[in-house]
Amino acid sequence: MKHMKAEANNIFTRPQTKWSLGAGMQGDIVISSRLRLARNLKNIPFPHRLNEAGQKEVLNAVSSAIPNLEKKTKRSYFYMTLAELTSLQRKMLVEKHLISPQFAQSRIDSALAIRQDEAVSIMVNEEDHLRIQCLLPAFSLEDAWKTANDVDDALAGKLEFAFDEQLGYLTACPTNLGTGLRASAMLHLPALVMSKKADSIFSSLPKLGLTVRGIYGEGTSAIGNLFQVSNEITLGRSEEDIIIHLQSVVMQLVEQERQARRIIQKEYDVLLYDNIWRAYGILSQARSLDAQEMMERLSLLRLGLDLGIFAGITHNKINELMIAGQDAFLQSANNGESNPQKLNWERAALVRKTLSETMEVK
Amino acid sequence: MLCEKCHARPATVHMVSINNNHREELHLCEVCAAESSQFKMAPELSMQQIFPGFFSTNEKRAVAPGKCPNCGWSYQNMKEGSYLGCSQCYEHFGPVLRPLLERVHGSVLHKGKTPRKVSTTSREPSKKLDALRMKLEKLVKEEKFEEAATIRDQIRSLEEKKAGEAHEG
Repeated sequence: MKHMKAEANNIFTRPQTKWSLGAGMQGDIVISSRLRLARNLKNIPFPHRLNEAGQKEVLNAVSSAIPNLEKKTKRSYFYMTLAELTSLQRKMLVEKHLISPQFAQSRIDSALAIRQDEAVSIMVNEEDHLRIQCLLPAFSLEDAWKTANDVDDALAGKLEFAFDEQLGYLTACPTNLGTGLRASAMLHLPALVMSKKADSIFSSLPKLGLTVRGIYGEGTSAIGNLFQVSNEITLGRSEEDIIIHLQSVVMQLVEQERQARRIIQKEYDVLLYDNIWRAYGILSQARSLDAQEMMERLSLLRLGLDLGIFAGITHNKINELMIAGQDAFLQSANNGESNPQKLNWERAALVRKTLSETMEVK
Repeated sequence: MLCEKCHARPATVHMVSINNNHREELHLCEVCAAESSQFKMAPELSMQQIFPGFFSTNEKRAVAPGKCPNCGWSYQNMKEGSYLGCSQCYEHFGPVLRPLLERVHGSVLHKGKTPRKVSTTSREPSKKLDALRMKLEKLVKEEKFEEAATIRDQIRSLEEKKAGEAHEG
């Protein structure tokens, strides 16, 4: 276990992470797959009820279980307390999707273990004592489950989790009870949004026990036509059943998006191509871009790449811009510059530079 | 970093706000932050808001249980927040929680993995038996007879074991 040293690792300098690199199944539409398990230590009050000594006790218990986790899974982890991170660094972890926005604002003693390749992150003293998260590129929920399951087993060798034969894993909020499992896929659905079908499709998901969230998870809004679809029900179904069900619904959404793309290509080809080229025009020339506008235009650039209109830039490079172009990463890359106007200027410069280095425009 | 208000305690609460294109940062300790209205967050959703009518309708029928013996969390606390206090709260508030869990999940029987450490021969055999019997009932209903037979055998062996222990005792 390596203790966090800002200079010893590149988590806070590299605008790439496990999910943003590498391709996989349905990688043009499914950006990433996430699986998290909620776990609590037996008999110890949940984090929101812990006093300072209790918070420390949980941190100590978990950190002393990490070496065993590393041995069992043959992977090394960085361990850091939230207190040793600046608020900027915490935001950077949110921008990489490695922690939740709520956890970044934690006011209690919390900690974080991140696997060296950033595929696994373990939040300590979030809403539950442990939140084990595995985040992989493209459509890879099964692999994410296998990985998170192994991490869970290795930790359970050293920690006794609160568990009940009937209710399963016991969690601070009853909505996570049972498996404690939340599986989700991040989908890029521009054609369903353009053809105004997204809303009606999303409104049918709760009936299937699924829900849609924004890009940083619970309570965040959708930007850049990116949506996170995840299971709501955690009790009464096995982990495998939950994942298979989500996979089948995600596949249907992917198919619908593909179909919508074919239709808009046929019926609105001039309008669609014009929109995509305009997005490229702005991204390659603008001198000021806010994060929201960048995300919206990058969505169209990604669609242009999928439809074969552009070549040169890759999905991975677009993912990288989606991280490097966020406020905290930009701020960190520009000596802490925090003036929003200057950040918009730097964001536009970063996007222009990336496009000029990669795009092959006919 | 020290709190910008009292200059005594360490600043643990940080806020960034943008007004007229000006980024302002404020760093306070928890005590001063609690007093500052700027830090008042939107109230968290309570169970009552998530499941309207649930507690109000049941309250008249069920006698509210007392505080959790392990952590002291009360029925009132649970009603107001969306959290339980500790893992034992589930057992303590079980009867009032059950309908809520049914409503949220459609089931109150865990079907997923069990922690490695907790072996299949549970320390609470009767609870384990109850769970198995419920499972059996469900499998029979779904006409999954092969799986049901396995569960039935497990129930038998557990019952025999229990009877044996009772004899010895």
